[in-house]
Amino acid sequence: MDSPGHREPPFKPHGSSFFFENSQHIFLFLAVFFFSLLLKINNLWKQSEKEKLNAELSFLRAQINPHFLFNALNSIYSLSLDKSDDAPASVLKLSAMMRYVLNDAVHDFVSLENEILYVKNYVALQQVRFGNSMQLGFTVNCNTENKKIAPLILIPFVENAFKYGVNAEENSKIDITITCYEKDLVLYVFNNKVTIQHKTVEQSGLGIENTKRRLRLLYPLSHRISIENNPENFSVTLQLTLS
Amino acid sequence: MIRAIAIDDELPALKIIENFCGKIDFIDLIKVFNKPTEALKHLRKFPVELLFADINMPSITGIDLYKSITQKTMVIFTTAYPEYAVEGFNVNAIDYLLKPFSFERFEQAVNRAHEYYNYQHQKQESSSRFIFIRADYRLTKINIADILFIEGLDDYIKIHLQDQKPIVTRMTMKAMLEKLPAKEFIRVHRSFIIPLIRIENVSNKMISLAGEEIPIGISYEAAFFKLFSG
Repeated sequence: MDSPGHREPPFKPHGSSFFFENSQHIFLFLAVFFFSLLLKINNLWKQSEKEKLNAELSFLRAQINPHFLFNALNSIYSLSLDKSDDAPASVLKLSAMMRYVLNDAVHDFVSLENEILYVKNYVALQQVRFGNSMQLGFTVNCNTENKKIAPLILIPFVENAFKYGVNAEENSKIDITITCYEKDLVLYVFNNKVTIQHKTVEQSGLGIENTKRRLRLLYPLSHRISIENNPENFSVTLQLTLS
Repeated sequence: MIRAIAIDDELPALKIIENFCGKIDFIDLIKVFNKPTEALKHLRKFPVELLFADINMPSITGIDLYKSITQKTMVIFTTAYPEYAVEGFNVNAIDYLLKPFSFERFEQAVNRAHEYYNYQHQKQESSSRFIFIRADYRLTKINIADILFIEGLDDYIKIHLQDQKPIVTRMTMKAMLEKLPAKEFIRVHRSFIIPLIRIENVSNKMISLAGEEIPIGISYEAAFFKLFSG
C-alpha cells in the first residue's frame, strides 16, 4: 500500500514552511495508516473467532464421525428394506451411541459400563457393514461395577483399527480385547495393515495422537501406552488405572 | 434390457441396490461385488451397460475403477460423502446417489440411464442403416441418410445422393420402395420417391427438396397430403 506521502521526492530541501506544505500529506498518511491498522486488528479478531469455532467443531466431530454415522444409517436402511429382524436392534445400538455422546460424554468421568457399551455398539454396527469381509475378534472381560472412566477414551483406538484394517480383498484381521483387573483396565487392539485409498479414509477429528494428549492430561501418572507399528500390522496396548 | 453390476465394499449397500433393481423392469442386475478387483475381472469377460459404483472403497475408488474400464459403460456413483460429488461428475457419471437414498431417487437415476441408453442406441441404429443395391455388376452399399430422392426412368431407377454421383440400377420403383424404411420415404409420383425428412416446402403440388422441384402425381396426392393432415 503506497500512502500519498511517498510520492514526494526524497530529498526536498527543508524550508520553514515544510510542515505546513506537507501537513496535508502527513494527515493522509496517518489516516491510511490507522485505517489499515484497524483492518488488521479486525482480521485478527475474526481469525481467532474462527479458530475457536474450528476447535469446537473438531471436538464435536470427534465424538461421532459423520461418515460412520451415515454409513451406519445406510446399513440400517438396508436391513429395514429387507425387513430384517436385525433392523430394530441396530437402531437401538445407534441411538444408544448418540445418547452416550450427547448426554454422558459431556461429563469429565462416566461409568465404565457405558464407555464399554459404546465400544460394543460401535463394533456391532461395523460388523453389520462389513460382515465376513473381516476376521474380527472382540472380547470383553470386565467387572464394571462402580468404575469410572474418562469418556470416549477407548473408542479412538478401536476406530483406528477399522479405519486402517478393513479391505474385503485382503486379510482383514482385527482383534480387540478389553480386560479389567482389580483397578486396572487393559485395552488391546490389533489390526493388519491393508490397502487404503488415502482420500477415502474416514476422517475422525480425534485420532490416536489427540487421545494420547488427553491421557497425559487426565491420567498423568496412571496410564501406560505401547504401540507396535510394523509394515504388516499395528497394535496398541493401553493400560489404565481407574479411579 | 440394460445389463448392470454393482460394486460396494459394504454388503448392506449392495443389498439395497439388489432390492431396488428388482423393482425396475428394464434393468438386469447380473451380479454384485464387494471386491472391486473381482468386478474388474468379471467386466473384462462380460461387459455390461451400467455400473453402480461406490466411490469410497479401500482398494480403489469407484472413480478410478470407472476410469480404468475401456469399454463404453454408463456409471451411477453412490457414496455417503457428498464432497466427492464434483469429482463424480467430472467423469461423466449418469448420476450420483447420496446414501441412504430413496427408491424414488434411485428410480430417477436409472431412468436417466435408460434415456441415455435409448438415445445412444438410436444414434447407433440410424448410423448403421444401409441398403445394398446391385449396380454396375457390383453390390453397392448406400447409406439411407444420404439419399436425396429416387427417380424412376422406364426400367431403371436413379438414386440421387448427397455429395456423391447418382447410382443407376435396374429395378422397379415398387421394389425400391420396399427396401426403404416405410416411415421415412414416400412415393409422390409415378417417377419419384422422396425421404420425408428432406422436404423443404410444398407449394402448388410441387415439392422443393435439395434444390430440385419434384411434382406430386395425381394418384399419389391423397396419400401425400394425408401425412400432413395428421
